[in-house]
Amino acid sequence: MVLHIDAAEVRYGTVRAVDGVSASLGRGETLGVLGESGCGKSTLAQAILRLVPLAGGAIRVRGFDVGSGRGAGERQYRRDVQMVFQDPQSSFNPAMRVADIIAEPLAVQGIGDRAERRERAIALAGAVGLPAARIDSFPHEFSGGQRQRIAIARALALEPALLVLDEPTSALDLSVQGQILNLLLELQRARGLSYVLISHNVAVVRHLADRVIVMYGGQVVEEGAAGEVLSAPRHPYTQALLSAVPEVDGPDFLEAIVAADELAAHPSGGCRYAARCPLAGPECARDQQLLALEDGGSWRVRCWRAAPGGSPE
Amino acid sequence: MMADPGETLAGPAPGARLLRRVTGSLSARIGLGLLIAAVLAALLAPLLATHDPDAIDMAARLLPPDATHWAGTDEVGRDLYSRILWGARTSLGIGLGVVAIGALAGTLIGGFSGLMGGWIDAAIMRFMDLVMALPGLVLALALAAALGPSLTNAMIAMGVLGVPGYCRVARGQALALRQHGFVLAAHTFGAGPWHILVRHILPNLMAPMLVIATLDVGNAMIGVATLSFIGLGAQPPLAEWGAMVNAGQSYILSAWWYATLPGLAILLTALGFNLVGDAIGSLANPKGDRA
Repeated sequence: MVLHIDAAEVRYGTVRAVDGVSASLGRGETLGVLGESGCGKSTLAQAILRLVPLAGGAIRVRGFDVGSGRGAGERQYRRDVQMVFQDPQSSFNPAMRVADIIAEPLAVQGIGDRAERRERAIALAGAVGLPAARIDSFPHEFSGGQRQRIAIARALALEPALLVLDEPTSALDLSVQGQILNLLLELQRARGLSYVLISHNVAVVRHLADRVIVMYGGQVVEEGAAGEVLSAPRHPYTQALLSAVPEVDGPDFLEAIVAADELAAHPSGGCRYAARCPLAGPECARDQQLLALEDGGSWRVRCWRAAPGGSPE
Repeated sequence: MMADPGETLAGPAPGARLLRRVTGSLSARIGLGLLIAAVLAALLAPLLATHDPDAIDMAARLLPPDATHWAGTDEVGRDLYSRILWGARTSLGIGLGVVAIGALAGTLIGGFSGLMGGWIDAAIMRFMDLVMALPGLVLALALAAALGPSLTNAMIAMGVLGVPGYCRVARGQALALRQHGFVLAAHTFGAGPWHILVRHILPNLMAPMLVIATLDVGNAMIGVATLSFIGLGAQPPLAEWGAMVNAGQSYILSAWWYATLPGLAILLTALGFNLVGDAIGSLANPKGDRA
């Protein structure tokens, strides 16, 4: 297992941004994390990278305990998992040239000498389709798609097993999005990479993911094989996400605020989606567990109205 | 690992923009002109001076400006024009030296403090508050007196006095920078605080700190001149503008030129640094015109 998340919890003050999320991911697989702004999906990504501390539960990357692990394993962990950030431009130091940006992880880990690192950077640039001739330019001289290629090249420098892709295409033009997604698929096949794909975009998740977890208010509300969940969703929230593709295509700040308010208003009891759910009934004031739709199945839904065998309709 | 300055310097584009900004407005051009004049005076003092700056001539005491002594003479008959030229070397050197001490130490400490956060940050900043709470000149006096009366020690004292100011600004910038994507990315490679400080924080602190340092050179010159006045700075017979102003003020009614002309040199040079500093500052903040 490359990644194992067990009841992970992250708090900002009293708000549980990630609340009891569990998931696991094998080699060469892609786990999609779907949800709108403020649902906790980016916080989950940061927790996997140890950029925010875990308040509860555990995350393991190839057996390394991200929450509390120290020592020799930590060094390997930093090589095993890398991140591709949502906004590539802000993830580059504006004073550094592309060759140095791509080679920075190697420099940090003390791999090779300057000349060797530069050679590796040129090879990585080639692997992601960047012209080697422009390796000494600054990142602001590149287009958005090329910047994301630079970010991907940097993320591959340490030959990680797992890439966390935080909205890898949301800052890009539609035509360029497809190129980047295909590049990610090619790299995954060639290198046996595992991906955690964080996105609000159903189409992107459908394109890349093998399995998907749908998050709302810090919790997983539906999980299963991407093909099944995204073609016949059972949770009312997933259904809303799929039917309203244009609406969730951009960051909807109003909804994010509403979502955060709901979190604060319902820190413990009841379904967090009830306030927005067209199907909400009296039973929704009580907590519901993630329930398998069929015995032993991997498709699970957190909804009173989508009980096993039943349908919310 | 060591920083490679060639790797971290910004590209030619920001440099060209900087030059355009500094030469763009009238006030910036005036400032640049004043600075160039001061630097030329310092460099060419041996060529431009009409007299030996330290030569005493008791027969020519306190003469007003005329054809031989263009800026008059002082109470022991030294040529003030020549002393002002030679004094440019001392005073510019003092201004830049004091600022270099304060800015370098303050940027390093503040950058480190902001990056680390937590109790380390709190301890460093409370100590800086303590230094700032003490009256500046009294502290400089105590330091200079403890180190012994010399120009170098006066510069160190004034430099140390400037550290908390630079430290606060650098810390604030570092606090903002540590939330930046590229610092988060560096964490994900396993980078330690030293790498992040040297490669990501300090190179991005250069521009704002340069602006403040430029604006501060004039103050530094005046501060050291004040120490010189009570005998803790420039030692006679060294030509230094501040010391000349302070010596000349006893004769202000009978020989106005003695204190006034070196004072004018301080004023114009400090003005030059301020105008250029403002111009560079508006580059860092292109949206707002500075008043």
